[in-house]
Amino acid sequence: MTSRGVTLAVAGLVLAAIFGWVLLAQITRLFGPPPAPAAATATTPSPMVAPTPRARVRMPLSVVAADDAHLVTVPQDMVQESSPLDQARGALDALLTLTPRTPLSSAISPGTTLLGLYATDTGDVYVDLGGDVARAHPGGTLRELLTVYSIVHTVLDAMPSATSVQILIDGREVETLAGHVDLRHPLRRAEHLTRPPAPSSETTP
Amino acid sequence: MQRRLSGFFLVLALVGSASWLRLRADEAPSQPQAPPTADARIIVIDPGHGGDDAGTASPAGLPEKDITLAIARRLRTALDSRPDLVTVLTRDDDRRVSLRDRTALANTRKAAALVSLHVNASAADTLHGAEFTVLAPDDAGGVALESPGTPLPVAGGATRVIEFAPWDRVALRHRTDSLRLARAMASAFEAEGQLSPRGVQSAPLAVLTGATMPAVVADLGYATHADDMARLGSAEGQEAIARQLRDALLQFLVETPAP
Repeated sequence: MTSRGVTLAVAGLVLAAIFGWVLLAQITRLFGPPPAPAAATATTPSPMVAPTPRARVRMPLSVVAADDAHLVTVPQDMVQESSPLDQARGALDALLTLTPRTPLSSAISPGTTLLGLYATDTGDVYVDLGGDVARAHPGGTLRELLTVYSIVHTVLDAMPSATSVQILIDGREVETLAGHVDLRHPLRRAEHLTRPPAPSSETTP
Repeated sequence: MQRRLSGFFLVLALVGSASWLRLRADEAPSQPQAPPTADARIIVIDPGHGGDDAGTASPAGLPEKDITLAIARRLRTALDSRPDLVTVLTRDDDRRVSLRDRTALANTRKAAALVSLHVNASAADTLHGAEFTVLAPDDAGGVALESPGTPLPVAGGATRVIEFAPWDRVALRHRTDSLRLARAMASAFEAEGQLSPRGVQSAPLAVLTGATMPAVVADLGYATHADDMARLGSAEGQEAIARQLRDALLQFLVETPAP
């Protein structure tokens, strides 16, 4: 190689290095992490927006009364939802895991899960429950009535616009929960099964 | 050898027959039965639950399905002594029968009454006594059950007025008679101090839906109450319960003219 060729090769390499450095700097600026703040601004507290606390409501949940033959409501503090259907879903979720303070008791079988909640324009609400609500039920006409209407009343209390509730199990319409109460149709409120709330009807945390 | 084998099977047959007779005698004491008359009225007795549906159970584990079947058989025996009655059971063994089929059997047999036998349960052990429930669909208020009917053509060119009623409300036509039957039963149990304070109730119970005759669900006591279970689980108690039900049914039928 002549001395001229060597000179040209060195110049080409230098130009390529400069071009590569410029290119790398631009890429880093465009896609890299943001530059560190200046020392003066780093010591200034950043403006934090305090989260707005969501409004809370007290929803009545229906549980078995002290006489073991009626339902009473206990107030449950919960987040206020944006729609009545979501409010009913929250109330049902709370009902399924509620442990009322003695002598009140829950009418819901342990392990019962809420699979879905749907409403129609005509005021019917469909509550889809997991199969444990039936499998773990202790049986008996009265006990089944209390279970069914505990759910019906809790939904209707949370959704004043609704008029009736039908219980589905694992997504299907069923004849009964435990061999007695007809679940083939939506059910309305059964006031004769209710008692006024007890003065100290608090729930355990 | 052959003689020995014959003897063995003879003894086996005798022991088996004696056991069967003893079992039958324990479940349903024999009574003189008269053949039913041509215009005999049919009573359908429904032993609640059955098969893989055991219903509730006593603390000792006695299932509701066995109690209801035993009492239903005793009630049949008590009623079959009457030539003017025929008693039909919706199940006579340990099998599952859908509630729809139980009601359908009573309808197709054109029964004068349907009595579904059950045993109640409670979380506490304090509730006790018998309760009797008639149908009360919770949306029944104001439903026009007395529709005038629609004239429809029938064979021969004539017309016949056919009344259409929703399936789930047809039983409400018999609500007054159902209440009368329930109250007769409640009185029979009250006289023995065996009536629950809840007495006669109304509820949307599936076996009553669609019944085209007076129909009652009889919860004969609480499996969770010791005194109730002493009666429900013993032959003497079951016999007494069957007698009380029979007396109430007979009183109801006397006051109900045959169609």
